[in-house]
Amino acid sequence: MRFAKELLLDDLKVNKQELFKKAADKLCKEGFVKESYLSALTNREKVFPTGLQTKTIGVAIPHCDPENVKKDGILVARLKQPVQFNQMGDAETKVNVYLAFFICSTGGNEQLADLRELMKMFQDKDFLTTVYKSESLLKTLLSWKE
Amino acid sequence: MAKTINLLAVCGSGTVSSTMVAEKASSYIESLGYNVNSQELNPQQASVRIPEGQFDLVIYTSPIPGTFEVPIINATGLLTGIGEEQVYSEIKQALEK
Repeated sequence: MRFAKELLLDDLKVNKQELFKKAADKLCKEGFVKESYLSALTNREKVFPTGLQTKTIGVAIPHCDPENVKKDGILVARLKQPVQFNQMGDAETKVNVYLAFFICSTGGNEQLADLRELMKMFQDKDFLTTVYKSESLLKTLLSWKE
Repeated sequence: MAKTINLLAVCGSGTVSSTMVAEKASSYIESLGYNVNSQELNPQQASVRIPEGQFDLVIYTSPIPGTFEVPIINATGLLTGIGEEQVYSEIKQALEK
C-alpha cells in the first residue's frame, strides 16, 4: 500500500471546504493533481458524496475524474474534529468523518491493488480506530499487512 | 460451460468506487459458479448504456437516473462492510431469476 510522508495531513481542525483546500494544495505541490483538481473535487462531492460509515469510524474517499489527476496516489487526512460528509449512494444520510482518504486516480489498472487493500482496511474491525488513535499516523498506516 | 454474467458497476466517476465494488461482486458471483465480465461507468453513461441490453446485473454506489428492466443493486455495503450480506443476497436473488 502506497502511503507516504508527503501525503499526510494530521491533527486538522477544519471544515469540509478547508479540508479540501488543504488536500488540494498539498497534492498540487507534490505533483499529483492539476490546478483544476480543487473545483472538480468540490463539485463532484456535492453530486456524488463519498462518506462511508464503516463498522467502526466514519471515513471518506473524496476523488474526482481522472482528467484532473497527474499520477496515482492517496493522501490521508486525520481530523481532530470530525467533518460531516454525506453517505455515498445515499445523500440523506450524514457521516461523521475522522479519516479522509483522497484517492487520486488516473483511471488505469495500476491502482487496483491499492483500492482493494483500502477496502479491506475499511472492513477491518480494529485498523481504522487504531490509525485514528495512533501516535504516528504514517507508521500505523504502514503497519497494514497486505 | 458456466454462464457468463455481464456485470456493470456504476459510481460517480466510473473509476474509483465502481472498481472497488466490481472486484468484490465479481469474486462473489464467480464463487456461485458463473464467469464474470465486468465494466465500470459513471451514472450518465450508465443511463444510456443499460437500455442497450448487454448487462445482466447492475451494481452502483451512485444512483443512476432513470428506470430500467435489469436488476439494479446498491452495492455501497461492499465498501463499508455494513449490509454486505444483504448486497450478496440481493445479487444472488437477481442471478437466480
